[in-house]
Amino acid sequence: MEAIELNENDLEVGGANSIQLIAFSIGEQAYGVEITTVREIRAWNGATPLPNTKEFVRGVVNLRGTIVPIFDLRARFGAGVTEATKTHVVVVLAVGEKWIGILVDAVSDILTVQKNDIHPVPEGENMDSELLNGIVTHDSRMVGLIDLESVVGQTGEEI
Amino acid sequence: MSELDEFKATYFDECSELLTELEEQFMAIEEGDQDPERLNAVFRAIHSIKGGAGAFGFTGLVGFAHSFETLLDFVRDGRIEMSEKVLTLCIRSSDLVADFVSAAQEGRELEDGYGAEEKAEFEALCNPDGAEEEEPEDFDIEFTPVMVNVDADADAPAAELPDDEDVFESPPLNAGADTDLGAALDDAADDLSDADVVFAGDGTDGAPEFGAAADAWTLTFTPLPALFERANDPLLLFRELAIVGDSQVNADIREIPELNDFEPFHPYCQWVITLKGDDVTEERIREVFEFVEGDCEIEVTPPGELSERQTSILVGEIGPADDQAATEPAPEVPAEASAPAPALEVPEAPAAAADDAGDAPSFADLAGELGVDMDAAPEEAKPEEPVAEKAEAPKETAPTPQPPASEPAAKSTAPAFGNAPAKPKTPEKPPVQSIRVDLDKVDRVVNMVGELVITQSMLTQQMDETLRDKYQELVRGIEVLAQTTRGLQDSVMAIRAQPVKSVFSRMPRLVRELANKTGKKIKLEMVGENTEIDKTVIEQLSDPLTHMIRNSADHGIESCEKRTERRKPEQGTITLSAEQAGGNILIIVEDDGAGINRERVLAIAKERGVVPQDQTPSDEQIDNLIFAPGFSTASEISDISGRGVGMDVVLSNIKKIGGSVHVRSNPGRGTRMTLRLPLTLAVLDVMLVSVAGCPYVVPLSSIVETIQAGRAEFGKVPSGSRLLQIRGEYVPVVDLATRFAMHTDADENERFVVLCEAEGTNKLAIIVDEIIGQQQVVIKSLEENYERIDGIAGGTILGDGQVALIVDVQGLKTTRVNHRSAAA
Repeated sequence: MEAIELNENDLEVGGANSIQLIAFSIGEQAYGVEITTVREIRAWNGATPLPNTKEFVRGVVNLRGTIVPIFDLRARFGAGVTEATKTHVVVVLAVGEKWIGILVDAVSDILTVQKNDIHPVPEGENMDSELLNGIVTHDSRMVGLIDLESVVGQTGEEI
Repeated sequence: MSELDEFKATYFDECSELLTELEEQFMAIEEGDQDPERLNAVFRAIHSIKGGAGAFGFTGLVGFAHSFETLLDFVRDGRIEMSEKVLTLCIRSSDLVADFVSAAQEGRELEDGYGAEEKAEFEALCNPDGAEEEEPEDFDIEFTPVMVNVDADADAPAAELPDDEDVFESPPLNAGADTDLGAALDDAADDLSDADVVFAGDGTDGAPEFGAAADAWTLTFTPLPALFERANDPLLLFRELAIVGDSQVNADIREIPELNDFEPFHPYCQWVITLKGDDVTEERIREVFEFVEGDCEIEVTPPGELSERQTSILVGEIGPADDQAATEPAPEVPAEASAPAPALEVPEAPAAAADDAGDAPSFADLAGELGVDMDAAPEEAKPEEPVAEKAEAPKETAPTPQPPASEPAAKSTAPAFGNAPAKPKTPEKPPVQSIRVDLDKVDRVVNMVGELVITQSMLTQQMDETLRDKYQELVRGIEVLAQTTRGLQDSVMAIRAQPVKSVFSRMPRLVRELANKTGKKIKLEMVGENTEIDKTVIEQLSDPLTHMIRNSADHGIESCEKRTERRKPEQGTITLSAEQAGGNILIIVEDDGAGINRERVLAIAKERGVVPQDQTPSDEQIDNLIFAPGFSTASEISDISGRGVGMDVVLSNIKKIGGSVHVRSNPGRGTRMTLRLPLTLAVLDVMLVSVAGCPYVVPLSSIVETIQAGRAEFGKVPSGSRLLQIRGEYVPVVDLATRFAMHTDADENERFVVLCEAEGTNKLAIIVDEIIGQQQVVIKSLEENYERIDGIAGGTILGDGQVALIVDVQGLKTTRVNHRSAAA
């Protein structure tokens, strides 16, 4: 439950009861992030690898003069490093003060969901509840809401 | 950031400027500059610091600054002689002021009684008989920070009005809203040297009969707020008028509210001006006001007439000025018989002022609110022979700079400086226009220009011959772009650049102190103080310079006896110079002392294992050993230097800002230390290399040389790591591919060894796959969006948009050491 409350605070947009998500896919699974955090969507065009970092940090890219790290979301979920091609997509997001990019397979949709329709992540695997803020259903498919803070934040402690 | 915080930030900015100013002025005074303006500047600086401190409630600072100011005031009007002792006290006290300021800035408290000793000295000096003196504690001013202009040019501060000037002195308001305040009026009166000034007060006593003058034009001038908003100064207008004809200006200041309600930009005053002269016509009068038309109300009546409004302002309302400060410095203009207004004749001013001081309620209230000791006012307002005499007395005996004492006839309230005959009516130099900009904002521009330069050079590189023939216009355009970009880069760098003076100016003090402590005679000569370097570089320069000068004074310059023995002038000389050489700034510290004792240096270096026993380094190498960490040749650790932490600090600080240090010594003749610094930190000269296909850059300043790996001699140590054998030295090797856990297919022999110098004389050999070339890059932070990475100092963006990582040579080295100690 805690995760949802946090989520609601984060997503308070215009006082409405609904939020908009950018949905993207990693393999068959759909995930989403709140649209207001998205800064840019760009095609994967390589990154300069950083030495001695975790495998899910794919490196850094130049985003109009600032250096932005790219996180491989698939690798972050422990499903192996993405074989990135030009068709893969980097979603640049603002997480707190920092800008990061997440590498995903494809961006699929913009969804509008009611806050009431956000389900909590069932108790179980720690990793799931850490990385997801909640679950919504769209076209009877499950969309996981990514908890950006934990994708980026605890990189030092994880793995 | 709240508004108050912003004010505070500005205040501290200004404080640091004022403290530098203090330093400079004291230095000049110390060198024997007798210009009274020096002391005035000191006074103003302290005063401005105090004013702001009061507004923000830094009571400690206010108290101290106040006592200091009192002393300065005594010195200024000649009651105390500016002897060496006093000067030393003053200089020490300005340090204390700086301490107070920095404590206030950091929000910490200095221990109780900080500066009490100095305070006591001030009081002892100012009050040798122990008579009752104004207690600084009386001085907690608590005015609301309506508008604190700490830049206030308190040129003629009335002794008993030390506080309120700041609040009101804002340049465009000189003669505007702040007319009831002494200092501003001083200015006004000075400026209006050929016009009589009369103030309409609330005192009705002495209001004379009043009527339209038969031969004078009368005009009413009522500024609207827009006038001040557009930075017009009524004074200038009045001055213009004075050219048109003989003018007499009467100010109606009845509207001026209590300080609490005072709104600095509101025009509270209006003026009635009478203008007499053969050439005066309405047209000419209107002409003067041409530029402020619409921003003020003007009513002009020909001779012999007065409008109702003019009459109401003039008749019965104009009393003698209730503020003695207003009239004192007014130039002696004989009252004109025909002048319609009851102009105060200047010679009478003191008496009138003294009489009035008592019954000037608004002023008294004001002063009361400010906590000003009102007793001081009437007392000082009396024409004081004794004080003036006192002022005269020390003058005869004082060889040191000292303000010209006021003439006995002059009153003590008008500070001697204000009345100094040399000073009157010097037109103020127009101040250099400047704005305060957050350094971050400038940095952003600098960075962007850096990007632009890199993009532009990339474009130029893409120009091959075929392209040149085919697209001449495009090529021309790119050439123009190159020029413009370079110009832009220069201009932007100039914004950040500051003269090295700000650091140099601290050094004479240091030398003086050192000379005192060591009993040596040392003089410091400075050359090229106006050379400009990037602000960040300047900030990093203070410590190294201090260490270098200490070293010169302590180890370089010999004692007087020794110098005489060696047939050198008794007084040693340290020369500090700055000059620009290409893209670098050279800062040179040179002394004419004993030079480096190479035998001793080598012996100690061997003893401490800095140099292997069997090695014979060259003279130059020995000289540079003094920068080795933990090295000190002083056999006795002195108070000044010799703890062995001096010179290696110099080296590491200078390295940090991408510079280098070189020392050259001539035994018996002296030592010269040269700092080579980059003009700017924003752009870094680097060598571009690649490791496992990824671009890395190594700062050029740390590279000694590059060697092809196939030709290099390596040895192995038991841990398995390699050592590079070069010119009899063994240098630890870091293979970047291994270190960064990357796989490289490069042929081991085809790779390159980049020999780097990390901290001190320690070297490190880095192995890379390929050397691509040299270029300039703009340093970018990785931490901004990510986190620090071990062995990487930052990132940069190459011409093709790719990110390259900057190798942290120092970091590679330390982790290497850590690895080893972990293994051991």
